[in-house]
Amino acid sequence: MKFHRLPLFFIISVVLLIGFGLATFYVASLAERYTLGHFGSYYSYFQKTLLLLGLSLIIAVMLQFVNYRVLRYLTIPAYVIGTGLLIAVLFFGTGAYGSRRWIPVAGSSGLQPSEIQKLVIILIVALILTLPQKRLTIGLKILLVIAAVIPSVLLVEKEPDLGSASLLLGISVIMLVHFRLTGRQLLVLGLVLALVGGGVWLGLRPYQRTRIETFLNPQADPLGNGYNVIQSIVATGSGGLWGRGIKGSTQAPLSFVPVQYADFVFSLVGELFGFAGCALLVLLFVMLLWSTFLVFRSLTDDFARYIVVGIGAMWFLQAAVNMGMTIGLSPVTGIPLPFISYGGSSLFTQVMAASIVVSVYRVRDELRF
Amino acid sequence: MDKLQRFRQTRRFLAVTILFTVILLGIVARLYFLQVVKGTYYAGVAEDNRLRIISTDAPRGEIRDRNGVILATDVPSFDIVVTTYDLKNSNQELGVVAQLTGAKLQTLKDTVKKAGVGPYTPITVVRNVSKVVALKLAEQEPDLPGIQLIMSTKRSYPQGTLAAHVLGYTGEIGDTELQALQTKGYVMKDTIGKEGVEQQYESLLRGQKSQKLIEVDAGGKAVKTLQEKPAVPGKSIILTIDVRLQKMCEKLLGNNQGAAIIMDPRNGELLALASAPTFDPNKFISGISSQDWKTWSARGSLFDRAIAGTFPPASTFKVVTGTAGLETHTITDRSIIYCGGGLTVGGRLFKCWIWPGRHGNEDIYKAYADSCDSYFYTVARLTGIESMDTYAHKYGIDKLTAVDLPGEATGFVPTPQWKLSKYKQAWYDGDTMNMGIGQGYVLETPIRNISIYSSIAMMGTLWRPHLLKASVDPVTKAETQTTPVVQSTLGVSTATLTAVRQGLYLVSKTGGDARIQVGNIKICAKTGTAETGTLNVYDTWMVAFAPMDNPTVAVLLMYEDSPYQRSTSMAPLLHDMLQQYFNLYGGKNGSN
Repeated sequence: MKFHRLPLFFIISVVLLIGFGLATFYVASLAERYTLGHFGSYYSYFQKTLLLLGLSLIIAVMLQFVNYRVLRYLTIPAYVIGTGLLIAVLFFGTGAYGSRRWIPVAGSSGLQPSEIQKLVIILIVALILTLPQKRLTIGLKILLVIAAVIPSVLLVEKEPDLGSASLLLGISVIMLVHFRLTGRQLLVLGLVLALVGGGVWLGLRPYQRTRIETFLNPQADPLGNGYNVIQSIVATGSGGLWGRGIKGSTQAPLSFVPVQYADFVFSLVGELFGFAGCALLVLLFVMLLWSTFLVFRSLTDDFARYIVVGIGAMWFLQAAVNMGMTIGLSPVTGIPLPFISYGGSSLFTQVMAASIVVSVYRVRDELRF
Repeated sequence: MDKLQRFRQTRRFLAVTILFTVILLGIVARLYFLQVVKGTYYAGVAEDNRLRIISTDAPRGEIRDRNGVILATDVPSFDIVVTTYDLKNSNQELGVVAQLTGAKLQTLKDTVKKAGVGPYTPITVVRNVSKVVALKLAEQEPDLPGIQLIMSTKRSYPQGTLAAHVLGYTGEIGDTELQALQTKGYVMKDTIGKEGVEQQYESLLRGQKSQKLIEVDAGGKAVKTLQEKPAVPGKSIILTIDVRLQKMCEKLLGNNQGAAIIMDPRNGELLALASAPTFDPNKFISGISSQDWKTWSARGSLFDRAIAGTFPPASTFKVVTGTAGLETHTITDRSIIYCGGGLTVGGRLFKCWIWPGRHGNEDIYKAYADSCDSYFYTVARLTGIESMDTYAHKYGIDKLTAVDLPGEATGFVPTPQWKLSKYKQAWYDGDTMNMGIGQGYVLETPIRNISIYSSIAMMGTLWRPHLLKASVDPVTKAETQTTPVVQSTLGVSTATLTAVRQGLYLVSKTGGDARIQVGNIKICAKTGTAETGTLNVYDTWMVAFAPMDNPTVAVLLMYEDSPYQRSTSMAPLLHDMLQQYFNLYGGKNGSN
């Protein structure tokens, strides 16, 4: 492996994002110590993230010694296992407020199958779309994609985790957009999706509807469903231009924003580092997207190209929806901010995704010579 | 996939990436608005989030008698407070409180609703819960988020019913009071003095609440105290009351209706101020039973007869008549008027009390000693209603004595104009004559009556009657003494007052049943028996001051619907009052 063959811009983007996340938790732990007089939960988040990151990176580096094409053969087993886990979580899962999202794993908060399933779906869709042309028509491939994705979407929705379910759907749709569809075909696809969306809305659970209504007007119910959003906006806004830093931050150490370490981590960034920090983080995501695009542009293998599209779509959708919900621009969902939010399954999934992107870039290089 | 396809695909991904970038920049724009444009606002909201002000009541000042005997004090008790933010299901948690305390759930909810404070500020919903309820609640407290039992204090009156009307009681602030006092820092459920000294000296007795600025986490748990302003206890009050004399007065009143007052004429200090029947102010603190309330209402127990009851002064009024006669030179102290047991005016017989007996020739001295009605009928008639009214005004009968208690009433001085407008009748000589012996329309409060005799004792100077001897700063222990104030001066000649006093002295010396002897102290006294309109039911008075030449004490005893037919029967009681006073405070120069 030669150094110049690494996608440097991409790797720098990922490293900066991971570093940003770690710095956020470390500073938050200092703010917590300042306010509470002792280290609190943020310090343990910081330590656990460091540990998980180490493990994920070791696996990621080891994967670089394996040709990504192996993934073609691993995709179907992965799909079976991933879907199996999604079924299992409905029976053995744990979660807050009656949901079942985590499979208990000793010594941790559990495994979140819907996180890993994102990668699995990306792989299976890429696989279907690149099946040999002779056997399948375009229409059949699309039907196959739908048949492969829908069970996962429904299973995740059943947990219930509408956010992650929509995310799986969104990733698949963006991947389909990059399939050789004409403008007209895309339009038909859009209409079908709109119909499905309408059906889903009708089938929404009351609390899910409330969440969406809350998103539209959080002040209507300030102590109930709107509470999270209001507190999140307050914490973010209180950061001002340069942030409140270690001594000035209060909302995070006093845990005014629910799940601020995970779903609402962006408000933590907002309070600690202000507009400057938030804008920098957005910039890092823009960098990630463009570096991903640059990797994509240099690829010749269609399977790899679809994978990269899917991964890029996943990062964008998660980042946009997560940051949007923090500042009241999108509904509250349990979608983590890639590389930043605390959570083992999420971090592992994102590092694996990044590892695949690096891998496909490097293998392309090797093929050329 | 051929190259063209790939090129198209790349173009699509480029378009999508640009679109994504634009969306992310939109997020930056929103961030700019929230953090830079509205950053200061949200920083303020964040502060409000974490800061709470907790205020606790300051101990209320004690009330003591002049010798330090505690009359009112604070004792520990429990209050229930609610922090709305911490409530999970208000119906359930408040429901438990309602069930335990017997309060109505709706009332509790209204209290919480009307408090008008932020969700993090604890609101007192029930005060002074019993120990049993407190214990039960303490057991359940862990399961009742938002409900807290806090240590508090409640008012206690260790002497029970003693001086109840003087002390008054405390209670929860009412809606109208709250509206008036909101600017002074009162909030709902605050304790405030109601009636008596508790009300009169609310501003002294009430301290300043403690205020604690604390930082709380999202669960409402205190993380640290940022600022603390300790409570300033209320000032203690020392009353002019002497519990020993007060007890004696109340004992004399017993189960009757009436008033008893002991006053120092030299400065207006009230050593005893009793009204009967009385009540137990402690019951206002713990909650009054309907049985008590019925009894109190039926007997007018809460009514302070000593300062708010108005009664015909009867013969005690004769000092006014005498003064008017002498001052207008209608009579002199040598004028002789014959009492034949009564006199006929306008075809109507006005009986002297001695009728069918007679007093014979009377001068003013003998007339006081005998309490001869014929004499004062004649003086009043000769003096005329205008002058009679003038001197009734001078003695302040229709004015407040300004005693430092809420609810004082004025007496009443009738005038011809008043009678004309009220009864459409002219004023007759007979009305003047009736007024001359303190009957008819004239009315006095007991506190006014003793004030009249005090001013005679002090040769025309009335020191404002008062109960506040001093207030004591709880921290420095410095006492602020009340400076006695001259309430009014009579503007009556010394000669006249000397003559009246001589007459009053003869009452105790030679006044038949009305005689009083305490050692060799010269006592000036006067009795009065007022008709009530009911046959053989009288309001009886006896009032005195002593020693005559250097008065140190004035005493008054008055029964409404008296157990006695004649006021002279009260002489032994008045004797006891004076005897007790001089036993405690010594003879001539006896002061404190």
